[in-house]
Amino acid sequence: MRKKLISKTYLRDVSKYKLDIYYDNDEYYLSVKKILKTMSPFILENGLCLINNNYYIVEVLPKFENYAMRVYFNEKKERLEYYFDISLKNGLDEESKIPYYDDLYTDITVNNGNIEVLDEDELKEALDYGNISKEEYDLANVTKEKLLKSIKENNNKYMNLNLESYLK
Amino acid sequence: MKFLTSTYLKDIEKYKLSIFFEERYCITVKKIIKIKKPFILREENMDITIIDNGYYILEFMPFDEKYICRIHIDKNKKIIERFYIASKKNSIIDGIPVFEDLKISYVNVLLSNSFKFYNIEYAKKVLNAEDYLFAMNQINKVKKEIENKSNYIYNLNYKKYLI
Repeated sequence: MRKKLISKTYLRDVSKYKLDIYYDNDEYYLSVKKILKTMSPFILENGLCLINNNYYIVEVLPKFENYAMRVYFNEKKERLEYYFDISLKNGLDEESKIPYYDDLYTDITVNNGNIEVLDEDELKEALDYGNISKEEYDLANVTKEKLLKSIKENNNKYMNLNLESYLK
Repeated sequence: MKFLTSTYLKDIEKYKLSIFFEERYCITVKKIIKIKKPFILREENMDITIIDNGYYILEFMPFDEKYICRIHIDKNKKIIERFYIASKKNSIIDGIPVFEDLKISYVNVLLSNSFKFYNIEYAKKVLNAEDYLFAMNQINKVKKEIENKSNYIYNLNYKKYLI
């Protein structure tokens, strides 16, 4: 399992940026990375650019859910893609006070209305190799189904947050 | 090793942290939204509120120097105190600014417009001779820079980071 600190995630090739972390909500931690200078844009195979100068990455880590949500915004503050990481636990790193999540392999992306589940093979492999327990494997699958339902029914509370108000 | 993201958070219940990564330095700003009780220091026979609701803690960490600077700022965006603290090493670990604290500080209290050294006797006890000498040299260098008006953080337009 990989512990992911939000101070570190998704900054490859980024040489100048600003990071805001909000510790003022009882239900979630929220961070905003504003990309000021990147060596090269990050572009998906389908041509969608997710990281470039003046783009934003917003991460929401619910305190009582088993997933982290990442939303990519362009320089016009338009939402480009949602990326959900299923997690064993979300919390605050004791030493640095930086929010983190323990990544449980399976991911879900929502892009232009298309929903895709990724890396289920990695989850199965982790179980087969004994890197996670059967309980953790089941937790990932139950969370995935619950999350897919909330996305399809358009009632996921974190997707419906006014994230644009955090983009300075 | 001290993480700039976790310093001075005692009794603070709600806050916002900003980290600005520049090419030669980084700056962290903590905006205090809710603290259980104000943090007050006795300085120069005055009680000075250092941390309270609406206050800021700005920390400056240059990558090519051996000190950090912490600035306490009130809710009207006025500087209360500047602390220059000698460090053995400044670095970024997992995207987090960290420094090795060498204890000796040079402090500027704005209210009394005074400057003074902190922790010299304490540093003598807890540091080895080499680190102690290194720290004293660093802090004396900062002192000279301030006197010459050439210290970067002393001259910084800090208000642009209070957003």
